[in-house]
Amino acid sequence: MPAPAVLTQQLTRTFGDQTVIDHIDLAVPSGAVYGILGPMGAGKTTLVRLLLGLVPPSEGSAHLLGYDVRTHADAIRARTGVVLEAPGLYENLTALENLDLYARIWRLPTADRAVRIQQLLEHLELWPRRHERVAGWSPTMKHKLAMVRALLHRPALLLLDEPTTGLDRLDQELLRADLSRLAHQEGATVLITTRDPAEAAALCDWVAILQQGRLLAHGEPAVLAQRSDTAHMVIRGRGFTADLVRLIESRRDVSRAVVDKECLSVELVCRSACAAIVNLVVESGADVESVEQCHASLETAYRALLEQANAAKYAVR
Amino acid sequence: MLPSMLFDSWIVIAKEWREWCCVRARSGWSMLILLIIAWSFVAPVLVGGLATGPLLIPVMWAALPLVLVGAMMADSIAGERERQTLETLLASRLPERAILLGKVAAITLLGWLLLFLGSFPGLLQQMVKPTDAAVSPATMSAVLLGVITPCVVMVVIVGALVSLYTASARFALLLTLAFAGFLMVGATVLAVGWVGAHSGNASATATPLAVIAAGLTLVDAGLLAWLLVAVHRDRLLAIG
Repeated sequence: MPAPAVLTQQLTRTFGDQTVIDHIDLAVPSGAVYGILGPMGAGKTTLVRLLLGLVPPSEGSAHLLGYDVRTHADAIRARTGVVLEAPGLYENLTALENLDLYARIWRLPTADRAVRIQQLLEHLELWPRRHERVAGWSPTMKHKLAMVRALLHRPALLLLDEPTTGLDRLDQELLRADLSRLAHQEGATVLITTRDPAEAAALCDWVAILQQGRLLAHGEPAVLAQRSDTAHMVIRGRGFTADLVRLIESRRDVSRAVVDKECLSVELVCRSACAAIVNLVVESGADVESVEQCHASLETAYRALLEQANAAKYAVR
Repeated sequence: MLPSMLFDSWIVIAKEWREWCCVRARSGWSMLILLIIAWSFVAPVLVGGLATGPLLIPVMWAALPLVLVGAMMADSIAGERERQTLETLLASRLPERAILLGKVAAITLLGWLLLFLGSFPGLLQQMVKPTDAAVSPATMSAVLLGVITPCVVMVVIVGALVSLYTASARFALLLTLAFAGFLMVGATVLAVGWVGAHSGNASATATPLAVIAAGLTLVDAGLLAWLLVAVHRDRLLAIG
């Protein structure tokens, strides 16, 4: 088994008396797409900064591509492509000037530079607009250009902080395909942060769930989804009233209930609540045609994990 | 190690110049340069009637370049931090010292160019038609080279230091401009006082000028050393 591309042990970062990253152990396999999933303020951006050596750890260690982030951060950054939360483009420069600057920074050979830039810009359909100043571009186009910049030097590791935020659906799909190809065909390791469990499930081979700086769970998305006690049930029929939905949602073992035409979807915190929900629907006078219980999605499991963590936190307080 | 650092700094210098000179405001720069050149003729007329006027002329010539380099330096670090381009630059392979040295060098060289543009035409005019025979154009040139030139460097380095220790671009700009103003008042007091006391005696003026120049250069070297020791990526990003 190859060495992990990213390995952290008890990685911790505090700012004053606030612990933003709390003793995190991560092992990101080489050649995988790994997602750090968490809500706003979970510490995802700080984790990326720690891995890049932009912020030193308060405790613990982090090794990327075999290099210690405390002592060899320069070597890590030289082999890593980055798209941070903001695209970080020089808006008064043209797309070509922005890329040329970074191609020089990465010391791409002169002959390779122009070819590589053209190849990547053409792939993302930005080539015809290469001489335009970036200031007038849409957020989606800026984001694509930032991706091109991150890929210029063929990095062994790609760190993307919320890469699909602001992208439309087609571009999201294109990005997913590109990242998957990079990891699975070209052997690069991709580490992304995201707030969207559906995106993590669609894109990542592995997911780690982070909340308030603590790692709640990690593993393959399908395994994570099944590991929790959550479930998803779909009841087909007629007569699902708003009162019924409110009644179902008021139960402690239900996290969400939604009616769409003749279909009532219920997300359960606890699988055993399934029968009780069906009884409730029948007693309300609704016609039930079929009941289907599905395994929980990553989204449901994620929400349940966050709720459990919050409940545990308040119980301690 | 050193050639690599110089190469990396050169990339940053070129980027800064491209941003400032070529793109940011082409028409604005033309107007500014015209203004600076015009000021080099107007300044001697404004202070020429005073007893110590000719010694104040170089200080007047330095006013605009000093204010400009102060504003540029604050924008180059604190401003770039707020525009969120600095973090991506710091996430690249470039060492933080190369980034900082590149920015300092780019703005210092630009400041010296502006100082030259703002003083050379006026200096030529003084050679042709001196305002006061007591202070020669040669002494004025010496003041420019020995006093004002290191002052430009000082404002740039102080601007960089202030940007490292303040989170807001606006506050960094205010502090740097306040320092540039303080420096100009100091230079004026020096011109009127110490150097002015020796006017009329070129050889007697040379010694205090040399002392001041050496002192300023030493201060610049000390500030640069402080800057290079203080620079860390998290400090450049104002994190923590």
